[in-house]
Amino acid sequence: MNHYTLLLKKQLMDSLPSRSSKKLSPTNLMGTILTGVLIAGIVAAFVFIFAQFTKTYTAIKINRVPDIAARQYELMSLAYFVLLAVSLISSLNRLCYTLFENSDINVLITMPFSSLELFLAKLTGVYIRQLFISALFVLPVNLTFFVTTDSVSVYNVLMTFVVTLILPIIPLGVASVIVLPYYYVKRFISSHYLLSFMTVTLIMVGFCMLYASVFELAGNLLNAGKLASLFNERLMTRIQRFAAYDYPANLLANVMLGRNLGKSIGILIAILVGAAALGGFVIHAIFIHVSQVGLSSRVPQLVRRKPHFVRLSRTGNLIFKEFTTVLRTPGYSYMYFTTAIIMPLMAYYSAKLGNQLVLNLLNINVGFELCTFLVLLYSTLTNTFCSTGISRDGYMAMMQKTLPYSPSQVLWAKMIFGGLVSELSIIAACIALAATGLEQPVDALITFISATLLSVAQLALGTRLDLNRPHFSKTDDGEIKEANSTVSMLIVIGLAAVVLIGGLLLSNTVRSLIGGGAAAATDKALSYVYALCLPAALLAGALTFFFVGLKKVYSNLDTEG
Amino acid sequence: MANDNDQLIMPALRIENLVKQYPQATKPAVDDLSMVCYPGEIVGLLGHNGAGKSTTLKCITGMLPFSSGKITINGFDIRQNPVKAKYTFGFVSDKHDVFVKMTGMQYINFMANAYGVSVQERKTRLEALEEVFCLGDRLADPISNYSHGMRQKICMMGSLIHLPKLWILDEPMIGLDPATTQRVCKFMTEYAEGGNCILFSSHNISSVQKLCKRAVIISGGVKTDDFLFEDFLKEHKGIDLEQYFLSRTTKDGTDNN
Repeated sequence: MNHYTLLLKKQLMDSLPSRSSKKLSPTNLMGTILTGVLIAGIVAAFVFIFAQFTKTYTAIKINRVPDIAARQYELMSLAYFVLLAVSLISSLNRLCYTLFENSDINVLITMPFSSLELFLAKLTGVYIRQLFISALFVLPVNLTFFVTTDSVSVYNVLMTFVVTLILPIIPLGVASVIVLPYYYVKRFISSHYLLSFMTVTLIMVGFCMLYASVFELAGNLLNAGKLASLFNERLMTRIQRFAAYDYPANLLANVMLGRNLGKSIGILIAILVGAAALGGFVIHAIFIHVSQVGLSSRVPQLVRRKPHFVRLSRTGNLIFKEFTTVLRTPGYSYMYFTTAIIMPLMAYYSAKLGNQLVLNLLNINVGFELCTFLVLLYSTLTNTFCSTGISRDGYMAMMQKTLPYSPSQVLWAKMIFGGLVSELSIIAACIALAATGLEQPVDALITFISATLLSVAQLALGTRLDLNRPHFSKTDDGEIKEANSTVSMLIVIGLAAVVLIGGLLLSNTVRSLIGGGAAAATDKALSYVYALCLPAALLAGALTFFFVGLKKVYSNLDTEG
Repeated sequence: MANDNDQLIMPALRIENLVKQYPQATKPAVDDLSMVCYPGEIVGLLGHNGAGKSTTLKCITGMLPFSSGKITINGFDIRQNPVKAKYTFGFVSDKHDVFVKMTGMQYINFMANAYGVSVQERKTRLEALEEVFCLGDRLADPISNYSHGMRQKICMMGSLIHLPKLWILDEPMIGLDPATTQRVCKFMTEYAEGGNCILFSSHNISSVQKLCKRAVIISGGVKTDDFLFEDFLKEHKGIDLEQYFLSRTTKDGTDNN
């Protein structure tokens, strides 16, 4: 095996999720199945929405004149623009990690590999990984588009595979030019918690807007007339102008639709060759140099604060430690704060859309049941952060054991911190639902209590599961990059509980429908009982699980075990 | 070394018949270890790599549970009264474990809050510690930006902010520059003279000899020696300590580790 193949093999092995043992445990298997189901669900939802959108968009008339070919071109051009943007972000992150953040370079650089071999292997590894991401996006877009527009042909299928192969090259070329400044900015931001928090908040706002747009679009798709009025003449002119100049996305659209083939392919080849050459040249020029000297330097501090002394209560001290650790670790900051802030918006938009759907289809109001189900569902998914509460302390978990804190003090501090984040999120969701009339205030209060009970149960369960089987981070910053089996288990248990509660609430609603108006009041009371008693029972079970043998398990906690 | 002192002074550390066996291990990592350390002493815990030094320290500090035996720190049983016992010692691990997301100052505050040190006391103590460790402005920087040696310094400072009666250090001098090592040695001597006890592990008998009056040698988890350097050297005139240490810690008198 030559050096290049050896390095590439290592590179590809690194891309695979690590397993602590070769045997696939039931929890790992469940996690894999769950991930597969979630991805399949997202792809299915995308295919449905994109197919509906394609149908509606290609039927849009300008000045009462339909132009299907022009609409198809605009749609493809915009779709490829989005794909290229996503691919660029993904390439940039991966390239940055592979070249500068992966500590393997510290070892590889001392071994008898040439810089060209190292560089080519790393670049090929990134390309292959991007190829999978490209396929994941291009195939659903193209296949949905061609099936919806009745234009499936050998040419289209063939070109879909060609585009899948070449799509990662252009973003990789661009990413390689900006990867070094990107790395420095990223490193600078991540070491300045305020900047880091602002960045995370901006990302969060972007996600919220995207989420809102998707739901808005889904809502409009339910009402085709509304969508047609949204795409008025002014907007269509802008889209046409953008689609004509969004290079190279418009060229890819031309190739896919068989328009201006010669010219488009010619320019595309020139761009691809240019991107590959430029990317290769830039990375090769900076790779070894940067790895050797530039990146070990100290990150300059924007503000050097004068040391000051702050006295906190002993519990407050532990909570502050949790807060600092989470806030100053971008991954955790996103996992805790961003998802918790997004959750109320997700609950609100989902409830709005769901309520509209049920009203249209069945002409009944399921406000309380639906809102409770959604708040429980989203808070359950948000709370998965508690599954790394112990693991994220890394080696410091052991040092913490030498401090004068009892096991329950340490664990309660973690749960109080997680609980505060979760509670604020649930309160915001319930206020939003009550304020917008999607739920009555009394119902919102019951939803809040129900979600709180389930949330605390999940925090107790997640913390104890993590304590029983911690997955300590071995990296210097203590960040756990990969979801572990505890996360999968917590998601499965949480979803099972939500489905059970939601199922009972739904069945109660159906019974209420059958029973008519007289039974409604009784059934509402029964819904309250379900919404309160089941989470309370789960909380009792989770707390029992949390406390049994707690001292012994904490005492046995060993980061090296 | 248990002696008449027991009747007069409360030991800073008393270990009685400590046994620690890791799960799935065929023999104990620490086997029937007993020792007593008194206030005013600096005790060097010597042994080659894997001898059981770190495991012993981890059992003392409550990091690891132990199979049998008893550990008492300043009168508090680490099993029965772990929190009270932990108030009376400070520990510096060989891995320089520290919350890297905090600034140096935040870490000092965190440790001071954990031990209930008043704001005025922490100010005075930090000034004194700064004279030894000299982190200066870097206290305001995130620890993630610290070098190996600086992390060792901040760990030491944090472990001393409550002026523990027993200061436990695992391989403390690794990573420190010569000037800091000199200042730390001087500080340790003065700290012990102030009526506190210091227990530190090392595999270097020369550094232990410079600093300690007493050494405890363990090999294969078993205590082989416990002596005062002065008495030992009087009894064994002209002995090569290095060679003696090797003979006590390895089968053939050579360090295979």
